[in-house]
Amino acid sequence: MTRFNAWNVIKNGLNGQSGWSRQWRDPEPKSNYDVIIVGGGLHGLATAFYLAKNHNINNVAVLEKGWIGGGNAGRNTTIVRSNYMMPGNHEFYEHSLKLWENLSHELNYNVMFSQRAHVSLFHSPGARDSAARRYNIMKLHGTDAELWDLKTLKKKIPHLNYDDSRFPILGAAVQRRAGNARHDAVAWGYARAADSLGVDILQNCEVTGITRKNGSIESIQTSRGTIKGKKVGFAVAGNTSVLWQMAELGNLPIESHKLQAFVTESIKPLLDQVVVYGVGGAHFYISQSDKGSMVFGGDLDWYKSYAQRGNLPIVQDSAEAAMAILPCLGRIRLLRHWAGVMDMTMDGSFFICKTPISNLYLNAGWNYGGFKASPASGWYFADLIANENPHNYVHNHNLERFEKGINIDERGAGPDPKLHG
Amino acid sequence: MKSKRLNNLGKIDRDKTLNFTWDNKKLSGFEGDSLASALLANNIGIVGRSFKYHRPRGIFSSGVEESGALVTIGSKDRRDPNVRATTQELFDGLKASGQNAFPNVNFDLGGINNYIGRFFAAGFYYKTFMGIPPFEWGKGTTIWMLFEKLIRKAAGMGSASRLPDPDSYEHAHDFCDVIVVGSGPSGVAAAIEAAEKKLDVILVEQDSLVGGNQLSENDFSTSEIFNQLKSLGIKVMTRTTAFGLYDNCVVGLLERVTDHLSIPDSTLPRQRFWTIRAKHIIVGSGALERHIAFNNNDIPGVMTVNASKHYLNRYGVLTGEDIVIATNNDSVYETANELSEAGANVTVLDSRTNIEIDSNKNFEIRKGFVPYNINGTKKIDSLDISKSENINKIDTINCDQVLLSGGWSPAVHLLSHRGVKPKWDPENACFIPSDTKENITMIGSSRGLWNKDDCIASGVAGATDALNRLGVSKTNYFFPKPGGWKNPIKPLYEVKYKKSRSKSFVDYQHDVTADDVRLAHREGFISVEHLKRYTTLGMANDQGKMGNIIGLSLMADLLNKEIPEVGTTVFRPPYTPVPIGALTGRNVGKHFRPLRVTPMHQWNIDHGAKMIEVGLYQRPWYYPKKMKHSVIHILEKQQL
Amino acid sequence: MIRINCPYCGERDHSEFSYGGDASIKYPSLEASEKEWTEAIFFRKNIRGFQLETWHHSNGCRMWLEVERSTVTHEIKSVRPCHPDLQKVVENNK
Repeated sequence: MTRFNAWNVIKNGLNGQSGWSRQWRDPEPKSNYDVIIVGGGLHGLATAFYLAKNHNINNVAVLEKGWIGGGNAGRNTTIVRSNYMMPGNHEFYEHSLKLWENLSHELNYNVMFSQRAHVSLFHSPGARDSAARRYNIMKLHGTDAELWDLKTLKKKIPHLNYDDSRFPILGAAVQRRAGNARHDAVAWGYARAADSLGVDILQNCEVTGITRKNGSIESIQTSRGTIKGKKVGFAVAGNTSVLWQMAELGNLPIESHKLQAFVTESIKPLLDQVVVYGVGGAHFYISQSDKGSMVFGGDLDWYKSYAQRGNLPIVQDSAEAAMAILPCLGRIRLLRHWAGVMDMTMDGSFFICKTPISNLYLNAGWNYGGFKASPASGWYFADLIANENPHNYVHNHNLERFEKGINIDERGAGPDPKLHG
Repeated sequence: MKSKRLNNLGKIDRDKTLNFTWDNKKLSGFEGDSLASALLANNIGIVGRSFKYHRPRGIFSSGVEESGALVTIGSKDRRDPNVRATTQELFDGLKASGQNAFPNVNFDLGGINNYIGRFFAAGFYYKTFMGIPPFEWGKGTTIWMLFEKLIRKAAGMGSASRLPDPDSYEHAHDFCDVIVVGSGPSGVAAAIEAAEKKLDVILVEQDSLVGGNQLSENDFSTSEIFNQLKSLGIKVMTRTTAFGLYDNCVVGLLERVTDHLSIPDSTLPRQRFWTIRAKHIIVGSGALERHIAFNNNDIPGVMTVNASKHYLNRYGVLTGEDIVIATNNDSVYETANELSEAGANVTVLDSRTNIEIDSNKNFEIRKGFVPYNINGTKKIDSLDISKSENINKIDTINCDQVLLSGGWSPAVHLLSHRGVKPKWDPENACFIPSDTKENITMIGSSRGLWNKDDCIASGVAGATDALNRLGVSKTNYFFPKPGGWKNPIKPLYEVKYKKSRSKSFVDYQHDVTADDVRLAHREGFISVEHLKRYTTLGMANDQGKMGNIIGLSLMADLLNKEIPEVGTTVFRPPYTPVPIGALTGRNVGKHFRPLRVTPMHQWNIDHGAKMIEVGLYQRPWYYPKKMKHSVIHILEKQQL
Repeated sequence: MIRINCPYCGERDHSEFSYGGDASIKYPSLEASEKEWTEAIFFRKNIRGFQLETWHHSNGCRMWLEVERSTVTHEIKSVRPCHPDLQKVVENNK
């Protein structure tokens, strides 16, 4: 495989781009694999990569019903951050951020991770206090965190709505190492790197049935034939419940909800940072892509859904929330809006865990936050599959935590999946 | 290109002169002009620059599919970037300027990208900029972020104002039995049929005039139809785009209230965002003419055939003197006649050989020929042509304009918003709408019907379908079969250039070339969704209205498959871009959220309380005069 | 926009309502085991297709409704009051 670097880009510029070949193979499914990962999204692909890279397990297949990166990997607002404070969460997301920082080099694929700073606005002294608490805890853990007072914020982002807003902007909690990445590139980069380590990426390979024998999964029926795997991992986000029931495992603490995302026409640089806020029942995040589009989103559509399209009330809500902090956006035009299916859990936290089936492992429940987590998610899911033992950072992220009453949620919004923003 | 205003033809008012500026140059047009037609009347050829290579861009179309003539209008806090000149109505005092260029669109330093463009193939940025070149040494994101700064500056199209939008917007709501989208022959027929059966009908038209593509006909009277619709009690909404279909027959509309006025009434909103709750939706959104990919097919002076007809008969503008029309279908011949009657020297290249054409021989028809390469950089000098079999340059025609028609794509976008996948019609080389269980009926050329009688029949059938589904009647109806041309269309998507490094554009705004599609294929990005994301094909402001099918056909060709096997991209709302301000409506500034107050609110204010936000409430934080020293001191100490 | 046909108010936008969630959950007796309670409170079928769910007409008549709706197409098959007595009233008024 041709390495990606400026040298080869120039060389291929001169020879009519003839030196590039497939970024990953299109193999026929083998009958047996050591590990089958169901789901060719970011988490599945990252898992396959780290299985091969960290654990020398190369006989791995990634099963994708459509095309890799076509689900939530391609339907998010690409924010990467690690501003968590609870034990476990903090270490997990910080590790993820560290992996992000070197991901382009690791994968030899420019995933365009740009540490443009994550600026979380606050609007009341109470919100400032709680931001101070969280960001101080982050600092104690050794991650970067700072508070910007109003003067600093005005200097950094002069065109926020400081004068006429319903909720005054008082300052912001900032993580400078946070930012955005190019979502498609992450999926393709993991696929290409995993493929080069021997992983088979099987596209258009939909799971149609699961055969169990003596408490373990014997084989998986797919649209491309029956495939056997010693171990099986699920990483299918919003469709987890469907697979779970296919394996006759009953219910899960997950509901599928839809989250809309919005992209505008591309314009010259208008916003350098990721800006987020939540006040007055609104929840909003915005950044500008390298292509120039403003990319933003807000709340869920508030009802359970598997549809990848949204409805007008949340379109209005998100537009309002955008204008509330950036009133200059009024004339900027929305180009596209669509929805992704989120696997919302009962406590807003994810699962990387074993299951009632001995050779089945679960990676699910990423709520709104799956994108930033994908490197660490792949890392620790691979670790769990290879070593059978959940790592300390994720050992509470299991299906038994509800019965045991283990609290790992940062927000504590209660057992209602739609409330975990 | 030598375009000029004629003394006859057009639906413009030559007695009302409108002054406007283009890049600070004072120009004039007439009442009824679009910005694009006024620019063409003033022989302005270059109106923009493309996204990546900064190639000169002219006016490609006369409608919403425009991907070249994106300009900035207005100034200061009313600066609007990325406005389609083709749909912006001209008004007195309009200020327009070119964008994505320095110092201007005629001479743009960014044009250097065109010469080093060979290094900028699709997705090249995924392969480099990671570390120190040439071998990407180093770790972390530092080097990328240095490159990124430059890339961000170069990217983007127009530049936006950073000042708050001073205009106001409104939300409005309405209900009806049937909403008809589009006022072409089919939409009008449907609306009339439904209204005559006593249904409550709303007809929406994105243009300022009703008529749809009939506006490009010489003898068409828009006012007659408008009056007829009105007399039947139909609510006719012009300058209104149905931008999206949502659950349960809800339609989102954007009404442009004052965008066409030079001094708007200050009590009017700039735009209105309508939520219409209908019982049935009839979509007659028409079809869009495609271009053809061949080398240098983007030089200013290239236009779709129907656009030229539109400029001629609606605006009285002849878009060229020596015109070559390249086609693979029958739809161009009326235009060829009209253009030559208006004084242009017209040659038609028809890729087909075995065809019968009735024409008055005012122009030459070269059967079995296709365009091969355009010579020129900022304007067309000549066109190299080839036989349609055995592609190679065999002749050159001197011309200043090349009009293209690679077939027509029904606008199935609105149905696609509902998750309904269109089906491929190989006979007509286009996607046509599939049936849906929901109360939505597609009519007219958005169903793949090419002649007016069929369109009208389909409109009546569509209305009958609505009446049946609403339980008003139980009448049999049938839709005419797609098609309607005398000679069958012969698929023509790309004329392959023999030399390497061709610039055959598939997506004009994003500079996606046929070679980019081939590179994507070579690298394994063969599904539609991957192709789109890897090359950015169809992700520009026009959302691939012209280029998508060409990209699909190229990929199908490479895979040795039929187009439908490659797939269809899902069109997302909005159909045309919608300002965030309109979606927001009145809920701006202090009205973002309601303010809730306690019974003591006024008392607190009267006593000088410093208020803070608590949810939607405001509560006193402290009373500065009395407690300044103790409380503030403590609170400030606690915070940081 | 999902349009919900409220038995009291008529057909209204879903934005007038608050989503309650899965209506098929039956809470066990107070003496039931922690396992049973965990299952009832935290675990869901998460049906892809038609499901029973509750909606509260919070910006209308404030009635709790039981709605049978597809989670794929959002199509609604039936709407009725949650309360059995109100159900009877609606039935009798038909």
